[in-house]
Amino acid sequence: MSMMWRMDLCFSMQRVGMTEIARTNRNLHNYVYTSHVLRSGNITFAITSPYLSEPVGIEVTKNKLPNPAFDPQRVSKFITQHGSGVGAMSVRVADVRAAFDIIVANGGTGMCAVPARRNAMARSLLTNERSLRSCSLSRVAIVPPTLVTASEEEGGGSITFAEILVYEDDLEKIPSHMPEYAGLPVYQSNTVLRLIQRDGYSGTQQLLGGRRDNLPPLPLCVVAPSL
Amino acid sequence: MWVGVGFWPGYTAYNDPVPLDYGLNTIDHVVGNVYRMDEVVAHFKRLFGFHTFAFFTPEEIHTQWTSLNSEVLASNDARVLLPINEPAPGKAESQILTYLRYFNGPGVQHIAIKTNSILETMLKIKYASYCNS
Repeated sequence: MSMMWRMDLCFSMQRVGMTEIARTNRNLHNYVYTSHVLRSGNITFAITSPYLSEPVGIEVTKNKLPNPAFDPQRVSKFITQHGSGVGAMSVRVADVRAAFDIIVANGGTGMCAVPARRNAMARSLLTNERSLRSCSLSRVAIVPPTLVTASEEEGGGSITFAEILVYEDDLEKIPSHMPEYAGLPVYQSNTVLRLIQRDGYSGTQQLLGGRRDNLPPLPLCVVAPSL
Repeated sequence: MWVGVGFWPGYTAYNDPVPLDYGLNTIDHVVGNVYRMDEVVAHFKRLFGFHTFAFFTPEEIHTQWTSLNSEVLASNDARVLLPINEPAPGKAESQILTYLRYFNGPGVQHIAIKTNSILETMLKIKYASYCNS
C-alpha cells in the first residue's frame, strides 16, 4: 500500500505496464479513503489516499470500511511528514494469529503515543502537535489480527490481517555522530509490515461501469500531417 | 499464489478496458534506509526470523563521493528479501543520509521488480512514454 495525496502515481504505474484491477472510493460508498489496486504478474500495488485528515464522522462509516483498521489521521501524518511513499508491505503467511503472537513475543510492536486503549480522547490529543510531543511513548501493536469477511456477492471467504511496525522514527536510534538530527520531533506514522492470511477468498468478477467484456487494446490511430 | 481479481473484500473489481502487461513479474526485494543498520537488522532478525543473506561494505557499494553499508535480510526460503542500508562516511554526504533528511526518517528506498526480459520491458515502457508525452 502506497500512501499519497494525489492519484498521479496511479497513472505512473499504468505507464510502466500495470493494470488497474480494483478500486474503492467515494462513489463506492467509502467516504474515508480512496484506493486504486494495480496488478502486473504477481505484483500488486495499492495506491491509497485518505479523503479526510481528521477522524470526523468516521465512526458512522467505520464498520463499513473495507479495511476497518484504516486510520486516516495516521495516513495523513505519514504523507505530511514523509511525503508519498510506501506505507505498508504485505507478506502472505499461513497463520496470522500465530505469526503475530510470535512477533509480539519477540518484541515486535508499533510505536504509538497513546496507551493501549485508543479512545476518542487520546485520539483528539494526537491532533495537537505539542501534546503529541509531550505524550509519553508507549509501545503497542498498531493493528492486531483482524478478520475481514467477504459477502456472498463477493464470493465468500475471508482475509485475516495484522500490521507490525518495521521502519520507525526513534530518536534514540539516531547515531551520536549526527547530532544535527537530534532535535527533530518524534513521528508516529511509519511503514508497517502487513501479514495477510487468505481463507477461501478469491473474489468475483463484480465489475464497474457496466463494462463486462475484456476488450482488446484500442488500435493506434495515426494521423498523417497534411500540408 | 493467487490469481483473480479478488484483492480485498469491499473493493470493487475494475475491468481496465486497456489491460497492460509489459512483463513486470514479481517483487524481487524491498530496500529500506535506516540510521543504524545493526540495530534494525538485529530487530528484524529477532522479530521475523530473518537471516543475513548478503553483506555489502562501502568498498563494494560506493560512488566517487558517497558510500553506504548494506545488509540483505532474507526469510528461510529467500522469497522475502529486505536489504537494509545505512549511511557511511564519504567525501560528501551519503545518499542514505540525504534520504533520511529529505523524507524525515527511515523508510522504503526502492522496490526492485523482476521481469522476464529486461530489454523487452524497457522497450515497452520507453515506447509507452513516447506515446504519452
